[in-house]
This record gives sequence, C-alpha cells and structure tokens, in this order.
Amino acid sequence: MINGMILNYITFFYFFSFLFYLLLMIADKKIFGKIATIITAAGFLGHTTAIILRWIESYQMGIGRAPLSNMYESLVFFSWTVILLYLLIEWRISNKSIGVFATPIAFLIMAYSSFSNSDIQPLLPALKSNWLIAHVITCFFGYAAFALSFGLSYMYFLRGLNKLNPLSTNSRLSRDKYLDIFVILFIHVVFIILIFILAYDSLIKNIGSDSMGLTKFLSLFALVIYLLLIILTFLIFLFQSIRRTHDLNTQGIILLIPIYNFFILFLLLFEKGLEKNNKYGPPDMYYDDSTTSLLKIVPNHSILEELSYQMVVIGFIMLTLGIITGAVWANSAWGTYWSWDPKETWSLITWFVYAAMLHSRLISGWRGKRLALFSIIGFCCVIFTYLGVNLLLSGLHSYGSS
Amino acid sequence: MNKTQANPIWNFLCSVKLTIFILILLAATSIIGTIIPQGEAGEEFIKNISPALQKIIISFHLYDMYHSAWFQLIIFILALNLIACSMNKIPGTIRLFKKLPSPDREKIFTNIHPDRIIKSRLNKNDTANVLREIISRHYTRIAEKDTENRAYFYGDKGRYSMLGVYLVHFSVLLILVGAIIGSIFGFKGYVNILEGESIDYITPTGVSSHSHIDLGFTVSCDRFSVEFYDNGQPKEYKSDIRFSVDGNTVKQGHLLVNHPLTFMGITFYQNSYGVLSGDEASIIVNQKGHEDPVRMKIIRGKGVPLPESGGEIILEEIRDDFMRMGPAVKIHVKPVNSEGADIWLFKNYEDIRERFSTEFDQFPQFNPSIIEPYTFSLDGIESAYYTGLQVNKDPGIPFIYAGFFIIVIGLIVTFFTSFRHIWIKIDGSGDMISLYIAGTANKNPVGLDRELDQITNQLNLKLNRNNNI
Repeated sequence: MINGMILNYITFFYFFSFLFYLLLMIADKKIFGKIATIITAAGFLGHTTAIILRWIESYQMGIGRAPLSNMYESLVFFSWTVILLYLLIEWRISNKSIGVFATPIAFLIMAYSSFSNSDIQPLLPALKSNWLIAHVITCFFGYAAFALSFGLSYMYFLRGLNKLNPLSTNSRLSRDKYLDIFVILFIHVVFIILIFILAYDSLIKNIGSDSMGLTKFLSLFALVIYLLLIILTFLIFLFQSIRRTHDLNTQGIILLIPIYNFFILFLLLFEKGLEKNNKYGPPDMYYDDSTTSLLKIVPNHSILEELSYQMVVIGFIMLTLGIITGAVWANSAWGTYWSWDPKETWSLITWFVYAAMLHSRLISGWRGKRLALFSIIGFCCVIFTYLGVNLLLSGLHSYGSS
Repeated sequence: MNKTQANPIWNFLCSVKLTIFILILLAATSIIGTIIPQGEAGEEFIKNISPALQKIIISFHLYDMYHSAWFQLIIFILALNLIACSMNKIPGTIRLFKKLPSPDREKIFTNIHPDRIIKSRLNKNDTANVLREIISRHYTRIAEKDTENRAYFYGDKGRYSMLGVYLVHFSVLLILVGAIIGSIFGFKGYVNILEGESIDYITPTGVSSHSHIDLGFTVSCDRFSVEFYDNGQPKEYKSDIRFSVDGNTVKQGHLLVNHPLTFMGITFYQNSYGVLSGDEASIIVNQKGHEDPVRMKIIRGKGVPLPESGGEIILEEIRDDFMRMGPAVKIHVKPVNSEGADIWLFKNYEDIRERFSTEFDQFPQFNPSIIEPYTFSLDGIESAYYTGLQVNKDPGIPFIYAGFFIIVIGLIVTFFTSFRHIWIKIDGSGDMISLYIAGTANKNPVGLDRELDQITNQLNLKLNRNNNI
C-alpha cells in the first residue's frame, strides 16, 4: 500500500506549506512565499501520484476501480481538488495570501482521512458505474470551489476589521463592525464545532484499536493541539472584548483563530508596528491599502469579492453537474432519478442557496458583505451536505458511515 | 407592455426579490423533510411521538412533505416566477439582440484610462483601415461612422451570451414538466420472478390496495446468478431476461444493476433477489436394524409411503428459516398400526440440538426418533432463486434529461461567455491623430480589460511600427 504511505507524508507537506504561508503573512519576506509554493506544489504532485498509484493498485488486486468510492478516497480527492484550485488561483492572481486559508483546509481533510479505513475494497454492484466517477469528481470540485469562496469571504470580513484598531476610532463600534465581529465569531464557532465532531468521531473509532499507527497518532495529536489553541485564542479574544483592553493585537489573534497555528505567541511577541497605523485616511470599507502588516498582502476588497464570486460560479456549475450525474446514476441503478434522500435534498438546498446568491448579485446587484455572508452560509450547507448528513442523518449515501 | 407593467400582481410575479425569497424558502422548508423521516418510515415515526407534535406533522403533511400540496405550491410559484420573469424580459433582450448600437458615442470615452488613448503616425484614412482590419478580426458585428475630422468604429461579439439565462430557466421548467409527466403518466412497481418462470403483470408501489398492472407482454427470467468477491461481498447480480409478446420472444438480454432493460416503454431494474422454497424436500430415513439409510423425496401435501412397512409421510410445511434455526420442514408421519405424529426436521439438527437441548427435550415434535423404529433427518429443501425487479414507466425521463443537458449548456453560456462591445474613436488631423478605445461587457470586466489591452497593443504596434525601427 505504497499510496497510503505517500498520502500520510503529503498530510505533513500541507502542514509545512501552511506554516510557510503563515510566516509569509507575518514576516512578509518573499522567500517564505516561494518555499510555501514549492512545498505545496511538491505535495500536490505527490498527492496526484498517490491517487494514480492507488488506481493502478486496485487493478493489480483484481478489483479495478477508480479511487473515488469510499469515505477515505473522497476525502483524499477533496483535499486534492482544494489544492489544485488554490494553486490555480495563486498562479492567476499572483497572490499567496489565500494559501494561509487553503492549505490548512487541505491538511485538516487529509489528517481526518487518515482515520478512515484506507483499504481498497471491492465495489458493490450499485457502485459500478461511470456515472459514479463523474458524480464524485464534479461534486468534489464544486465543494472545493465553495470552500475557497468561503475562505475568500472570510478574508473579506477580516479586512473590514481594519477599522477595529483602537487608535483610529475613538470609542464606539458601529453596527457594521458588530456585523463583522459577529460573522467572524460565527465562523469560528462553526469551525470549532466541526473540528470537535471530527476529532470526536476519530477518537471514538480509533482509540484502543490496533490500527493506531504513528501517523494517525500524530494527526490526532495535531488535531488536539488545534482544538486547544482554538479554545485558547477564542478565550483571549473574548476576554479582550469584555475588558476592552487593547494592549494585545486584536487583528492578529482573530486572524489566527480558525487556522491553527503554533505561532500565536511568536506573533504576539514579534509582530511589530501593528498599532501605529490607521492614522491616515478614513477607515473606509473599500479602503484598499491595508495598513497592518498582517493584512498587507491580503488582496483588496474588490479582488476578494470578484474571486469569491468566480469560485461560486465554478462551484455552482460543478454542483449542478454533480446533482445531474447523481440523478442519472440513480436512475440507472434504482430507477428513480430523485428520491428526496437526505443527501440529495441537502445538495439541492445548497444549490438553492447559491442560486439565490447568484440572483442577488447578478440581478439585484448585491455586493460586499451581504454577498460574502451568503457565501459563508452556502458553505455551511456544503459542509452539512458532505459530513453532517453522513454523521447525523441516514440515507442512500451510507458510505460515509463506514 | 405598459398595461402589464402597471399590474401589481404581474410586477410581484416578475420580481427577483420573489425569486430569491422562494429559493430561500425552498431551501429552508426542505430541511424539515431531511429531519423527519419520510414515507413509510415517517408513518412509523409519527406513531411514537406526542399527540401535539403528531397533530402538527399530520396537518402539514410533514411525514411526506415533498409531495404535500403546500410544498408543491411553492415550486409552482417558482415556476410562475420563472415564466413571468422571462416573459417580462424577453422583448427587451430581443431588441438588444437585434439592435446595432450607434458608433458615434462620445459619453463612453469620458473618464477612460490614459493607456487607452494612443497616437497614430499614419494619416486618418490609413489609421481607419488598420483599425477596421483589427476590429473585424476580433468582433463579429462592426459599424462605423465618418465625420469631418473624426471617425467612429463599433464592434461587438457574444450576443448569444444574453440568451444563456433563458436556457437555464427554460431547462428548470422542462425538468418540472418532466417530473409532472412522470407522475401522471408513469408508474413504479415491482415484481419477483422465479428462475425459469414468467409473469405478465406487476404490483405498483405506494398503492395500498392489492392492484396489478398488466404489462401486455410476458417477462421471463431464464436464469439468475450472483457472483461474490473473495471476501464474500456481492460482486454482480445477473438475470437473463426474455420479453415475449403472444408467445414469441421479441427481446432478450442480461439485466444487471446499473444496466436496466427497457421494453415497450417500460424499464426493468435489477433490484433484489431471494431464495424461494419450492414444494419438495428430500429427507433421509434411518431404520433401526438397517444399515443403509434411505433418501427419499417428499412433496407437499402428497403422501409418500414409508419404507418397508405401510404408512406414509406427508410434507406439511416448508420453512426457509424456522425461528432463526435455518431450513426446516414439518412432516406428518402416519404408520399403519399406530398413531401418527407431526415432526419438525431441521437441516442443521446437530448444532441446534446442542444449543437448545432443554427446549428440544420438552417438545416431542422436535424429536426425530419419536416414531419407532425410524429416525428422520432433513437433507435439503428444493429451492429456487427469484429475481426482484423494479419496474418503471416514466415518459417524463426524456424531458428531464433534455433539461439536464440544456441547463449545463445554459450555465456555461451564461457564466463563461459575455456580450462585449468596443468603441474606438479616431480624432484629429494631419500628424496629430489619436485613438480612443473604450468598451463595455455584460459580464467579466476583467476579461474585457484584458481584451482591450490586447487590442490597444496590437493597434500601437501597427500604427507606430515605423516609429520603432
């Protein structure tokens, strides 16, 4: 099972590329960005190779099937699509700041996948269909595009936090800022709940079992550290908001909550000159020249918005194709193209939400925060479609529970 | 148009706000059905909850909400909204589609970026020729207008991009129409066919009465087989199916999961399989004092003579799985000169006997040696495979698939093509000729910018070539 070994290493590739993207954000030295991109690209190549090897291996075992048909394989493929789309974006807009959001998503998915059963199992008769391959590929491309759109929308809100700097505004937070804080907190809470569910799920399945290898242990360890850090940063943030003390760097901490980082102390100690800014100009929402060094390399609002929208377009088309191929497959396997199975219904709900988002932008001309909010809600639906339905509801797509 | 625009109901139906509201409403209400079990499971579910909740669920039809009137009403409003929106906008789109905008616009050149103003070394006429050639290379429709010291050029392409959205909306309607046609003119049913037998009717699903649907032809299952992987997981279910009309075989083929067969508009899907006991069993009879046991076939309801003495054995019941103890048969043994008895014979007698020794000792009907001098044991039940087929007729499928195809085309046209216009003005005389380049697009402003950059560069190269040498 050489592919499994490669994939285990890839997990850590993505982790290290995340660290370098983070260093780039903090130190803004070009070399970190280069290293990060090289590691990510190398990881992606290895990832691709491993998937192909797995495919070949299945033929050698006499099963012969595309590596896309159980939970483990879907997670591996999901992470692959996230990195692929991210690298495409990085190449197109020549901006590496999104990496700090994309690579941890890929890392987390890979870490979680190491807890699922990675054996190459033969396919049940119903799963033997080319439509299945098309269905999985389109769905996961859609999910990955939505994930990136979510990351971009999140950055959009982070940018709005420039105004939070205590030196630039003297007293009260406006309603707008409350919205920013609320959305960011909401995302964190969702993230924390999600990671708790995933960690709990893996813990329950793996503790005490013989299959608890070293890599699995390390992944688990990383997950636990992540959780602790999230809780810690969250508490610090809460403490700050209550006490209204501003001697700690609020932006830095908020930025670091959802992406886990072992550098929070490093950041607090070494990040210089964050608070001497924001004395020029009004804290405009479309204020392009970010003034904190942490957010300096984050693209401006209009680029974030445009990219996020483009990701939603790609995601929406892919989701449509995913639903269609799924329906055609179901029709050839069970004689019903639509059966209101929870997974189907949730994918349709996601489709409705993104359809509403596209209408609101294209026809009603919504822009900015409202749209970013839509993208975040949409991604919550995506996560529920992918994981929530498997963990909480039951239906035809039961592969997720094994 | 004016008349309809004044109508508030029509305006309401046309509005995008309604669209967004309906989409969100559909998304929100659909969640209910993923939490409350639907269909048969839903009917089970509501038996075990508090009466108040039960009342709510029943009155809103939540145990089968996707087929409830209110849910379908929301979908109906969405369809109305789609139709109204399209009807409202199509005339305008057609006008835009047909109309060729005038080349001599001035307003469009205000506030253009300085990079989009270039000088020309050629005279006005030559500049116009170069320009005409480059524009016609990039754009499909071209218009120009000459004034005394100015010349205006216009070009556009991608008009069809405007129609993409109508394709998408039309396809959604097509899918809805397909679903309606399927539910009115189609049916879903199932049928089990024993290996080697034929049927000419099926049982519809979801209908409480025991009705049948006559197919009008005969379906035979000549053979059924299951293949397994090494680990015991099923690999393939295969039925050899033959369709015949009036006794003549018209079509035959292998029916596999994911490979349905269609005959006369009715489609058959491999759905399940099972083993059905027949009317025969074979038993082994041991007789005290005799060395060789006798194997004999018994048939349900028919007396078979006991070996040597008179009397007979009657097979009374056959069970594939008797109280989770495996295959079993009930026989009635009636010797000539003593009282008869019912006996249950098990295939796996030795194992069961060990597991349930106390129970077995209590009941004489489980004792295979109760009739002296015989001891009976069950050798096997004659059984046959049956194949379980899902049988559908859905005349809406072509509409659905056409809708699928069109929606993908429509989305690609809508999002990946754009209607781009370019205006170029040549201004000045003699050596002082300038070109002003401006453009608009209904989508993808970044792409338009890139294209205008490209055109500007090409023009610069051609018009100032001599300059560079």
